[in-house]
Amino acid sequence: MNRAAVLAFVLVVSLLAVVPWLTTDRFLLNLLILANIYTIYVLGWDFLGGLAGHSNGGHALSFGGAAYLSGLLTLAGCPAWTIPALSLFGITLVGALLGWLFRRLDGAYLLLATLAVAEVAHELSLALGFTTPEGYTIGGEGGLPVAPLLAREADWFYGCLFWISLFFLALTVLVLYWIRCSLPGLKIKALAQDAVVAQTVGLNPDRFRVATFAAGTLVGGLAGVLYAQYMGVATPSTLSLEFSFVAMTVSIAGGKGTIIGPAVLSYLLNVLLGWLWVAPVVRLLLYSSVAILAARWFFGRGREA
Amino acid sequence: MEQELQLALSGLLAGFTYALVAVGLTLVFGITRVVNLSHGAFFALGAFVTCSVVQWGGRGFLALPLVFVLSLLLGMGLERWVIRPVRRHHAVVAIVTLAVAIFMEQIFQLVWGPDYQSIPRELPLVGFMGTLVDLQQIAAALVAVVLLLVLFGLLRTRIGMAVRLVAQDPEGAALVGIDVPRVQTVVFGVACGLAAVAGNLTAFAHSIYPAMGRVPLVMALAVVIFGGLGNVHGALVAGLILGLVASGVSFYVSPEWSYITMLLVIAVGLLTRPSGLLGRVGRRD
Repeated sequence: MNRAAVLAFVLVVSLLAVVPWLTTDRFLLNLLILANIYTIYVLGWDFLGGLAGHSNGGHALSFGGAAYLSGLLTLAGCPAWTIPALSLFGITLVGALLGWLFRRLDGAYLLLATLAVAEVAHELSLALGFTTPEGYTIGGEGGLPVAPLLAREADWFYGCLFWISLFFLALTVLVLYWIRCSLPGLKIKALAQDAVVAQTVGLNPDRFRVATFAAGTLVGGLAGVLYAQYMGVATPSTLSLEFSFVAMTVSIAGGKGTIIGPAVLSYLLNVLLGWLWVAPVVRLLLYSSVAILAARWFFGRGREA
Repeated sequence: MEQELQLALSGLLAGFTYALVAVGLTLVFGITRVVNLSHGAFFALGAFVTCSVVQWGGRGFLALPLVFVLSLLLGMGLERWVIRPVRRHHAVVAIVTLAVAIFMEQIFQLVWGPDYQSIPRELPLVGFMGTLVDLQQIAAALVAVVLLLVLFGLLRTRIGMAVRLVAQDPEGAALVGIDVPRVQTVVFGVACGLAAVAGNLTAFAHSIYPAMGRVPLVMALAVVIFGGLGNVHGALVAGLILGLVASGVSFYVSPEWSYITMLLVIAVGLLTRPSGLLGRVGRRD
C-alpha cells in the first residue's frame, strides 16, 4: 500500500469507528455490522479463489460450518468464552483437510467437488435434528442456538459488536493485503499462475494448497463466528449454494485477488442493498447478472485476468 | 419381494429420464469442455412451461416440442453470447453457468411464483404381476429411450462424425473444414433441449418450484462422473445404475439422503477416479 492508500484506509476505518458515538439507530448499526461480517467472508474467498487461484465452490461451508460448530459446542455445554476460538480452530482444520483431500483437483473440478461437499453440509443441516438435555428438539430449518458472549439485551450490544466486527475487518484487510505483497504471497501467486514452473524453483504445491485452504477457511470462519455471535443462531441458509455464489461474484466483480477491490465492493453493496430493502430475489438477480457481465469483462476473449 | 420389484422398476424407468439429462451434460463436456451448471435450470424450464400449458387446458405431451425448441434456442444463445467468450477459463465458465442457473431460478420465481405447483397425471397406474405400473412413467421412459436412440443414431451419421471429431480434436476438425464453434453451439443447444424434455416428461411426478432443477443437475453430474466425463455410453449405463440407487435410498432412508448420496458420488468420484468408474483414462487436453 502506498502512503495515500494507507491514509485513505485509516480515514475510512476511523470514520466508521465513530458511527456508534454519533447514532444508536439499530437499523443503521445492523446494516454496518452485517456489511463488516459479509465483507470478511468475501475476503476469505478472494484470498483462496482470487489470490491462490483455488476456485472454491463451497465457501459457505467455512461461514456456516463455523456458525454450526458454535451451535454444536453450545449444545455440548462448552463455556461461552471458549466457543469462538474452538469453532475457528475446528473450521480451520476442516479447511486444511479439504485442501489436502482435493490437492489434485483444479479449475472446474475443484469448484464442483467443494460445491458438492458444502451442499452435503447444507442438506445435513436441514435433515438432522438434535435433542437438548431439557428434551427439546432443535436443528433443521430453525437452526441451532449459539451461546453469546455479549448480552443481546444490553444497550451497548450493537455498538460493541460493530466495533468488534470492524476491528476484525480492518485486521483481515491488513493481513491479507500484507500477505499479497509479501514473499509468501508472491509464492502463492506463482503457484496459481503456473504450478509446474513454480515447482521447478522448489515450491511445494501441496503444502501451499493446504495452507491457503486453511487460511481462506479461517477468514470465512471468522465471519461465521461473528455472525453466530450476532444472531445467536446458526441457520441452514449460512451453508447455502447462493451464499457461496455471492462470495465468488463479489470477488470477481471487485477484482479477483486484489483484496481491496472486493472489500470495497462488498461493503458498498451490502450497505446499499440493505438500505434500500432490496428483496432476496432481486438481489440474486442482480448478483447473477453482475457475475455474468464481470466474467465477460474481465475474462472475455483476449483478456488474461 | 414385490416391494423390491416395484422399486427396481420405478428406479429403472426414472433412470432413463436421468440418462437423458446426463447424456446432454456429458455431450456438452465432451464437445466444449464446459461443466454446465445451468443444465438443471433447463430441466425446470421444461417443467414450468409444461405446467403452464396444462393449466391453459393443453396436454402435457403436446408441450414437448415447444419446450425442446425454446430451450434449444435459449441454450444456443447462452453458448454463443455468454459462455463462448470465457470458455478458456474453466473455473470462471463454471461460475458463469452457476450464475445463469441462479438467474433463471429468480426469473422462474418472478414469473411463476415461489410456491410449489403440480400437474395431474394423464395416464393411470395399473396393476401388473403384483406391482403397480405407472403408465405415465413408462410413456416418459419410452420417449426418453427413443430420443436416446435417435441421438446415438445421429452420432453415427456424417454429422455425428463431425461432432465426434470436434470432441476428439477441435484443431484437427477445424483443419478439415468443420465449423467448430457452430458445432459447439448446436450441441450445447441440443443438450439444453434434452434437459427441458426430461423436465417435461417428469413434470407430473415432481413438485414444480424454481429451484427444482438442482436435484436432476446433481443426479446428472453424479451420473456423468460415475460414467466418465465425456463418455456418452458410460452416462447411459451410469444413469440406469444410479437411478436404481437413488430410488432405493429414497425409499429405504429418505429422499434427502438420496440427494446427499449423489453429492457424495460427485465429491468422492472426482477425488478418487476422475475418469469415472466406467470410464477409461484417456488423453485430456
